[in-house]
Amino acid sequence: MNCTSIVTYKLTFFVLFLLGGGLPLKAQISMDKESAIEGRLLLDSIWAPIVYLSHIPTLNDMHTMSNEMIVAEATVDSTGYFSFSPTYLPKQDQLFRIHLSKKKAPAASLIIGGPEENHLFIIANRETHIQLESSPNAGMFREVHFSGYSPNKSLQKIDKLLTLSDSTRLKGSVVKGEFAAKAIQERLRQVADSSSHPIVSLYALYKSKFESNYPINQSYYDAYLYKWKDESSPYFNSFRTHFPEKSKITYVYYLPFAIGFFILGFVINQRLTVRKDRTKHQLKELSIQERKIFQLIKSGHTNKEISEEHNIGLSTVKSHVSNIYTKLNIKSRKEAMDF
Amino acid sequence: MLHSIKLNATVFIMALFTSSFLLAQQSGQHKDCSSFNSSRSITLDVSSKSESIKMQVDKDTKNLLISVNSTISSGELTMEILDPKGNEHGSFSVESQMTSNSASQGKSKDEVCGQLNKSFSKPMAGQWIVKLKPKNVTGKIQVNSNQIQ
Repeated sequence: MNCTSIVTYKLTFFVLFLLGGGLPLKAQISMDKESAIEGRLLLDSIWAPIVYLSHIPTLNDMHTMSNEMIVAEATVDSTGYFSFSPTYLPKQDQLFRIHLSKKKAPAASLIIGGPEENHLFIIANRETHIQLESSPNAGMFREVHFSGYSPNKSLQKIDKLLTLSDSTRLKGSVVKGEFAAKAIQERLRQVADSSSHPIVSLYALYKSKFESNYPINQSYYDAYLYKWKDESSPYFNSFRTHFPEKSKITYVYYLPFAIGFFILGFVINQRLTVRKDRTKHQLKELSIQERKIFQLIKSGHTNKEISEEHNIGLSTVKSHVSNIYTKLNIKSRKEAMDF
Repeated sequence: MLHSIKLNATVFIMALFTSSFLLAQQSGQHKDCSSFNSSRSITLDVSSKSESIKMQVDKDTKNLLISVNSTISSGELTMEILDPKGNEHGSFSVESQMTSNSASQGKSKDEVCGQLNKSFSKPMAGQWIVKLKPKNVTGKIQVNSNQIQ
């Protein structure tokens, strides 16, 4: 068999494969463009041929499993095809987990890590159309091809970053692994910052171990929370509980100042009141004539002017002024004017 | 032409022989690695309290594999893997509510299974902890660890 005939043979085989197997399988998935979560999982004999869809109410529950979380199940047929109808799902995007169980294991089974990891996360709503296909060469959910609703491709990119981090840690030295982990966490924060989809953004942040990063990078999280301040989904409400409330911090921070100002105001008011009372009391001690002279002193008149005004002798004025000083406990004209 | 085929066949057989020899040597080297396995099974009931399973890891340990497998029929169980500094390296939580119907049958149809497999290359030396926090749980949990030095 010469080289040309070998090439011709291989091409024929490839075309026959596409016509007989590949294309019809693809067509089966792509036929219905209405809302659906469908795909093909090439199961080996350890798995039960049922695929489950679980709702993840908050991102804290990504590693939580219970029967109550399962919202749908679908049979996987002999070709690996399965389909969920998402028409009963909420209108807004939500996070879901597609998962399998081993034969004889409970439906609510969660396997994290290792080649038998049994789940992947998707974002869906009642109108989404998602297709996924697992690669026969990798683990069940290690290599999945997504098409349809685009946020799921973003989730997949985030998962690939994490896989890269894990493999570097396993293969390289400890120091190299730590450097890689830090670099990937930084990259995840960048993804979270630049993503316009709230769940994708939050998914990246949760995977970046934000709780340990918050104390050293507070300004990033303050800016992040401010950016998504109008997002009121349970995912963000739950996320916000991980951080101290800014308004509470401000309140606690300013409370001692407020109390201080209140006490200061109270003390000043008390002193002014006492002084006013004392002033009134002292003024009552003055005679009518002394009060008249006191008013003239306050308005800046000299002793001579007062003497002329009241037709009294200068020595009498001086005597009144001296009495006024004694009764009011003052020592000069200036103090009298300020009294 | 015939001579060339013979030559190629000879080279191929020699290469096969050399590679099999090298592979045998490599497998011999693997046998030199010492491995330490530990396994612990715990049955949980409603009175079970939080428990920490400790694993001492030496500085010479090249690889640490921790596998936690739990099946519960009621209650809530949270599991965390902590390194000697207290940093979390994996967790899961499983919850099950036994229905009156399943309880009357004496068995639960609401079993929930949680499994976590974690591998650590050149793990931090010290005491690693698998922390179990059960709340009214009935079920079983198995913790396996494998250390390669």
